[in-house]
Amino acid sequence: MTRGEGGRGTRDGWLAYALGLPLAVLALAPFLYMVVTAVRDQPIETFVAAATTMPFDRFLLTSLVLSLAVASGQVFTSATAAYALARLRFAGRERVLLVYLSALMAPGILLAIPRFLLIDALGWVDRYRGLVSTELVSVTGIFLLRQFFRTIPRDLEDAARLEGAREWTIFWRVILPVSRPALVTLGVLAFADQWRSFLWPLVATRAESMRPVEVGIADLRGLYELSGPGQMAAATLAVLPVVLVYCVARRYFVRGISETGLR
Amino acid sequence: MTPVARWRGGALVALAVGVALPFGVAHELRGRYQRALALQEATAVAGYIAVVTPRTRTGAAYDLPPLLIRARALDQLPEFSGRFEVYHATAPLVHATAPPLPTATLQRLRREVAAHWTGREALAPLLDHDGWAVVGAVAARPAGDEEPAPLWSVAALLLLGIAATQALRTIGGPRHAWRAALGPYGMVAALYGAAVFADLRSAARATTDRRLYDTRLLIQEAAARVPEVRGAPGDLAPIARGAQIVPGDSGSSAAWRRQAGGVTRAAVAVRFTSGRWVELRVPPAEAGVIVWLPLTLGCAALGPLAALLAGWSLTAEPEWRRETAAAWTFLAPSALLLAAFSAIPVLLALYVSVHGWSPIETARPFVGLANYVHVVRDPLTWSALGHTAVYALYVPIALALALGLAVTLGRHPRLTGFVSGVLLLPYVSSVVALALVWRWLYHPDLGVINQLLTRARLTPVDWLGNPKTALAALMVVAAWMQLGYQMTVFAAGLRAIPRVYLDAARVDGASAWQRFWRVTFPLLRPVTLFLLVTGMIGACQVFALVFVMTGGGPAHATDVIVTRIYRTAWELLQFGEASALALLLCALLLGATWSQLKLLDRRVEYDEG
Repeated sequence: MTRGEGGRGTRDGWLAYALGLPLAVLALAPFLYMVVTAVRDQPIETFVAAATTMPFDRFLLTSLVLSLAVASGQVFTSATAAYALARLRFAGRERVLLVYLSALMAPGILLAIPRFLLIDALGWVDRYRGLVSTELVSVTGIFLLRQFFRTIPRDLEDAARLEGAREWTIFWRVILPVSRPALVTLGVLAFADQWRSFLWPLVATRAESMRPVEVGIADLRGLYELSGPGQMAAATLAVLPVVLVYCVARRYFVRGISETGLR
Repeated sequence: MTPVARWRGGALVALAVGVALPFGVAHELRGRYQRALALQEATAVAGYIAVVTPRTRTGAAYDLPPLLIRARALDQLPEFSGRFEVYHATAPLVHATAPPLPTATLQRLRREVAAHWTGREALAPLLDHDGWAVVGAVAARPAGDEEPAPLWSVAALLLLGIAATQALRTIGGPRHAWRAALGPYGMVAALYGAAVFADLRSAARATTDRRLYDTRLLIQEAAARVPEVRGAPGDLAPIARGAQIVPGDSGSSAAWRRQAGGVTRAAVAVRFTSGRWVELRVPPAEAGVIVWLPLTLGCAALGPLAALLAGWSLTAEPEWRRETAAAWTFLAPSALLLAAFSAIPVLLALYVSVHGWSPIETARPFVGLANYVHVVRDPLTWSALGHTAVYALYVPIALALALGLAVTLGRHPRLTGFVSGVLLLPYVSSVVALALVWRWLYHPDLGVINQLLTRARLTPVDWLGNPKTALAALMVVAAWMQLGYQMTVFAAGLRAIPRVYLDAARVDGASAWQRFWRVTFPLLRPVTLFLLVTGMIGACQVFALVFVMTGGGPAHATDVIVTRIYRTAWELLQFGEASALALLLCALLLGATWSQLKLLDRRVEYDEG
């Protein structure tokens, strides 16, 4: 895009770099502070202290299980619903769209109270099923995939249809294989969202051993057994997995965010 | 059999099932209430006899002649509705010709010393004066024929018959005809379900009333016959098992319902002696009936649903029908989960919000709008709303920054990619961990920010501890976390703008400033609006950041609406009030959400077109 801009381009370029690079450094500064504080002196002892003051291994395991379960669940429910909404013509379709959209209207805190009563009545507090079951549908995920499915050329489907394939066959054999990027996008977004999620795990767990890392380390704010560097080490450990996922799958994150924002 | 006849038959069968099932359930439940009433009456009569019959000179057993007279006298009492029999050992006393009590039954009573249902009648043990031995039994039969006729149900059933005939006749006819008939049919069916429920409820109510009246009669009879109990109502406890006798005022003869200690009680005034009244209280039988309402309504809906399905199946193309069935199997996972974990919870929240609901209390009385009134009158609610509104202002500020950044960097794709990639890091990583980091950055003594200030010879600030700066400090962190997201979306929006527009403007001699305001910004308006609306909605629901960084403090200075709700529910344990507040928040956000839906909807329509 810079090509053909001539002299103006270079001046703009200078401004852009002068603005962009310091800002990037500034954005990274809290991360740098976190890591530097954690490793400044006696890094090994600091990390050991951070990991042993609390059952950190349990936290990470719970977070991992939760995020994987929710991400795969959301990909499944979103893909099936999005396929129906994008590709099939059926009675009640417009109403389903409207009802699904209206599900976005309920704030999380409004749902948290009755959902807690529900899982409490079912005896699902401190169980994975209580933590996971409420998070398995993402309306934005459905609309993200629906958007993608609409762009798949009809010819592919028609060819399968001519060979006598029915909806489920088309879904599994045609739609899903060509949608892998979109499915991965939704998957990583859902994974990161679940890793960050705080309110519901806070409400739906009582035992420390069932808390995901996000809720577990929140207790650090009142915990003075762990020094400043120790807290930063714990924060580093909590951030690390999702930052790794982000670094590996950055283009999927960017694509998903652009897609939800634009479409 | 033609398809039309088959579908009509199917719809008729569904209607019959839908009518019969609530009726059957109602019948069964009425039987249950009647049996419960009979058990209570038998126990009360046994208690009455124990109170009024004098003992033999030698022991605790009853003197037979007075026992006979008392039992027969009770049977003669015109207002007493119970139909009972008193057995002395196995011999019937009231109706001398009635068959004796089987020995096995008496032995069972001696063993269990508890009232039970024999299959035909309720049997309560008759204890001797000292309560040591079972000397006989009292049997009571439910007075089935005296119960009120289910008038509402019958009336609704007639209407239902008419509406159903209309609807079934149109099945197989033109589309508009059965569609038109379906509305009245559905409404009348709902009416029928409600009517069955109403009758059931009044039947339950009637059994409670009858119990109250009969017990009152027994108490008054006992007071008339045994002068000693007039001074000591406590002696009447055997008559009023399962009920409470409390001091009361004079009152009408009819029973009433009243809240007492958070629980609804059915009560009646009992005139004890002249000028002395007591109140007899029992738990009302109709209190638990509400759980059957979904069942009666659901069953009643079967008929109209079958008619809908039948009419639709006959008019729809086979291909369309098949695809609809397939589509609904695809939608089933998400639809069922949404129903179970979103729709039902919303209804439950509405229910909880009008009840005094606390996890540590068993009583959950209906309180109407009291919870709403309470939270609206609470000054903390308003200050939390104010803080939320101020906090949400970070969204437009961050948005302006992100837009400026995206436009400035826009011509350098690699730089844009790098900067937005770095800026996205705070957005994707853990909120709580970063909030902990920022707590350290803001630390009054050890924080980097204050150390820099000191080095610059400025006064350090207790960022999170000072009510004046705490909210602003939170807004900075929030903006830091959101900037990358907003910039990424803007960058994508800029890429979507066709180059020709900008080139044309440049050819026309527009300056960079003009190009931005005249071309770029108008084209980015939908994106900006989307980010603004979703950002504000998200900001109004901020929780984790505030909870971890300040916990709403200092002195409630950063108390936002969601932390308020969380505290009301999980620290004050007022779930009713918390739900009311959450619903108010939902109503406030509705305007914003509605415009978001409009945006999404317009896009949807745009795609469809």
